[in-house]
Amino acid sequence: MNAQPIQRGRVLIVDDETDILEGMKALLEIEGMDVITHDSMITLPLILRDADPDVILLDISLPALSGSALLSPGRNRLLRTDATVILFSGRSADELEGLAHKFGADGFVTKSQDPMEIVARVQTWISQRRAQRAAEGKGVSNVSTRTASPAAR
Amino acid sequence: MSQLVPHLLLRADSSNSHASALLRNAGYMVTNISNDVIVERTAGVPEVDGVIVELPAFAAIAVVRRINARYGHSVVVLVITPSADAVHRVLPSTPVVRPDEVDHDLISTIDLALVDHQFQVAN
Repeated sequence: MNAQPIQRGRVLIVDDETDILEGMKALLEIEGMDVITHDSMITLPLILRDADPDVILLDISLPALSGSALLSPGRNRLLRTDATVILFSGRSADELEGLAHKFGADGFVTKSQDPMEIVARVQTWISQRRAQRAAEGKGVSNVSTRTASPAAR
Repeated sequence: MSQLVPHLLLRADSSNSHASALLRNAGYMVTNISNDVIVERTAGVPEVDGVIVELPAFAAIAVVRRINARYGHSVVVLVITPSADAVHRVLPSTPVVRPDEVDHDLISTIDLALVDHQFQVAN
């Protein structure tokens, strides 16, 4: 079998619910992504300097400093990232859609969505981000490679 | 099994779980627990024959992985969750029942899991 090396997408999940972080990290890693988890908004900008994620799943309801505060009023004002920023919350889809538009996020997923649907959407966002970075001539940094497994195809 | 009636821990957010009633009617002793830490701490004691985790997929995955990490797959665990595919993907050896399958499949699935576990322990 001629296995092709493929690039692993990198995802940063920011949430204060331990079970959500652990469960989603396990699922996204099984699906072939590198996953970093973080539970505090306050130190998030420091984490971002090294993480260089393709996609950030950002719980906008964290205590102390909300995700929306990091995004508002201008997109990426505090986050200073070119990653795709996705609002991730237990709120309704209608509410999240409005908040994503208001704060300039790139999209949203609700925690009640089917996990495999969330995985598929994250994979799409990673592909779009990679394509956009390639088109801008930025390339992809900090990306490991792996040999594709049958399960990952 | 350390007692005549098999004893199951049920980790669920709802205090009046339908699964709990079904299991009791089938002859199981069921202890409802709403706290992950207590479930993880007591899952491996001799008085417990198995654990049923009735939670959304991400939370179920997290709880079962912590139980497996602590007891090395020596504890019988069954998950009840709507997103069975996601749990199967991460925990392929853990039996999963969807809420709409509980009435038909829960008792037979936990029966088989317990028997299979006893067989493995005996051999």
